[in-house]
Amino acid sequence: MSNALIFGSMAAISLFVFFNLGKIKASKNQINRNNRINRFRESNQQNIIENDHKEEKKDED
Amino acid sequence: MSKHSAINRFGRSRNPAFSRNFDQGGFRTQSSSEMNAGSGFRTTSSVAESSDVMTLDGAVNKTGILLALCFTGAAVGWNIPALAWPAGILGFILALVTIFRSPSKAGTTAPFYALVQGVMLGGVSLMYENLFDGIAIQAIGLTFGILASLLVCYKSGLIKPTENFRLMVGAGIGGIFILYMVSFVMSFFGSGISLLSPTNGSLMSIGLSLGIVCFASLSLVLDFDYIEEGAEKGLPKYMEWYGAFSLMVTLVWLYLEILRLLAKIRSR
Repeated sequence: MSNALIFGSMAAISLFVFFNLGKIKASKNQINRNNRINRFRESNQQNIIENDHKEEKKDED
Repeated sequence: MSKHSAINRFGRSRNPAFSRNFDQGGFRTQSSSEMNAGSGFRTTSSVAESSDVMTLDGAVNKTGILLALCFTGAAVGWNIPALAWPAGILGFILALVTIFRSPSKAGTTAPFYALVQGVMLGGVSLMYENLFDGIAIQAIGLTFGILASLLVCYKSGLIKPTENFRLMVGAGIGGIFILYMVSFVMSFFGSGISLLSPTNGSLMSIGLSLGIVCFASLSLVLDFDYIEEGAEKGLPKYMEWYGAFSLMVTLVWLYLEILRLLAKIRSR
C-alpha cells in the first residue's frame, strides 16, 4: 500500500513538473551556445545565400 | 551587369522552402503584392508567428494526449494480457512507418502507436506483477521521475547535448540493439544471453541493465533538445506530433528497461 502511495505520488508530481516545465523555454546558457546539435543545417543554407549574394556584388563591381 | 540573367528577369524564387527564416522562429512568407513584377525587386517582411508552426506548448500537450492513450491501452492490456504480443508487433510496425515512411502523418500514426503500445505494456506489466508484487507502480514512478528530473537538468542547462553527446548515445544504443538482435536470433536455437534475463540477479546482469537504463534516459535529453530546437526554428505543426511520438518511443523503452532492472534486483 505504501509502495503504491510513494511511487504513485512520485509519478503524479513528475507529470505535473513535466507539463508545466515542458512549456517553458530552456535557459539562455542552454540555447545560446556554439556547440549545439545542428539538426537542420541552418549554417549551410545561410552560407549558400551569403555566397550567392557576394557573388552578385562582385559581378556588379 | 550581373551574370544571373534569370534572377534579373524573374526575381528570386518565391518557394517558401527557400525563404524560411530560421532565426525568427517562424516562417518568413511573402505575399504577391510585395513583388515588384517590373524590376523583379522583392521585399520581404517577416510575418508574425503563424499558427502553423511547431510550439513547445503543442508538443507537450500532444505528449499528454499520447500518454493518456497509452494508459487507456494499458488498462485493456492489463485485463486481456493475450493481446500483448500482437499489440507489441503492431506497435513496432507503426513506429517504423512513422519514422521512415511518413513523419508528416505522425498525427494519425502516433495516437495508434501510443494506444497499441499501451496494450503491450499493460500485458507485460501484469506478467512482471505476477512475479514481483508492486513492481509496475515502482517502474511507472521511476520512469516519470527520470523524465521530470532530466527535463529540469535540460531546461536549466545542466546537461548540454552536443554532437559528441549525440554520437555517444547513438553508439551506445547501436550496441544495445546489436545485443538484443543476437539474443533474439539465439532464442530460435533454444538459448539466449542470460545477462538479459529478468530473473538473472547477478551483479554483472544488474550492471548491464543499469547501463541500458542510462542510455535510454540520455536519449530523453536528445528528444527534449529536438523539440526545443524544432519550436525555436518554426518547424511545421505536424512536427509537434513527431516530437511527442519520439518522446513516447523513448518512454516506452525506458519503462521496459526499468521493469527488467527492478526484476533483476528483486531476484537477488
